[in-house]
Amino acid sequence: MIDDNDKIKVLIADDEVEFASTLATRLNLRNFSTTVVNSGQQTLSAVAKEQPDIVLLDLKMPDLDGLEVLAMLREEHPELKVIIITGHGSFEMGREGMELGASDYIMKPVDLNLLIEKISDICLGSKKDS
Amino acid sequence: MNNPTDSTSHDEHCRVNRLCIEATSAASASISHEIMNILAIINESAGLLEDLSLMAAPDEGIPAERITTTAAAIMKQVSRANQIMKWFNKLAHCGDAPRARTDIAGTIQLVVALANRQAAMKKLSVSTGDLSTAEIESDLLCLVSLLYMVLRRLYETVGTEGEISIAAKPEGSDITVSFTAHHRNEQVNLNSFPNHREKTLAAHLKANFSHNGEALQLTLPPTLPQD
Repeated sequence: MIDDNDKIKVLIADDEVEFASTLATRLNLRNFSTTVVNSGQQTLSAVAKEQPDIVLLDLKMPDLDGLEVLAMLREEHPELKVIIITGHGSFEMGREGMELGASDYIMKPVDLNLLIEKISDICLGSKKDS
Repeated sequence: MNNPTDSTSHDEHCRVNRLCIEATSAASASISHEIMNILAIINESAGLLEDLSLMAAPDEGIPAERITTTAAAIMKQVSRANQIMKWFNKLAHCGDAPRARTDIAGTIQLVVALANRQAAMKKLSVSTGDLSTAEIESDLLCLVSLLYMVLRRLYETVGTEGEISIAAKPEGSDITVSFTAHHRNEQVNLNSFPNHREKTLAAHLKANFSHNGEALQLTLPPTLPQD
């Protein structure tokens, strides 16, 4: 079980390299453990290898569409928690992602405090439930 | 656009308008998405500077290298946004007049820039080799919409890591724009072009699609005839 001293393992999947790496740096400063990937295929590989607690998934990446990645993740790792990160101006894509099993979604530019709140709620909540 | 004089031309006018709106909406959506990404990077970079300042010891401050690196990242994104907005502004002004003189090279470069994100997503190489500097007088919004529509569908057709080449040259008084596509050194068949929507816009522009070998060609008149 994760307690407050355990690091939550976050996989950040976004093709905007500088966004993903800077967000990772900021989460690391807050005691999260992060891995960054920049494509759909890399996301699938990293989930298998790193076994993150949660994936922050951009919906628009090269090779595989984010919703395709989400569907594959749901099939192969049904317990994995996913937060959709979207640059779309509407909630539609986030809503579609949640229908496919994402736990939540957040719009870009990201409100870091809100994101951390969502990560903590989802990961700590799910660990307490298990 | 046409001044509709009967129900048939009115219907055509509506179809053309609708297709132009669809094309420019798609381009606008793509651009807004990219701007959101840029804002997200700037937001994280500014947040990182704030984090570093909060963490710094009172008498030490933030290491200069961290500041310059982060500032450079912000400036890079501002420059990226500036370029995108210049193209977006050109698109926005395409509808200023029902017909306008335009150089075909500039118009193709605009359309390629507008579809740049889609090309990047599919890791496509898009080259604009021989582009005539000739000018034509046309319905610029419709022309840009047609070229954008063709390009987006080409990107879907060619497959990941494909190569697309666009050229434009005078043929008599006309201008012919040629599109060729390769995937893993094999020429891609473009016989699915044009579709009904592309034909509708081409008809409005009094332009003709044809195939020359594997190349898709769009022949544009030097002046759009008055109705």
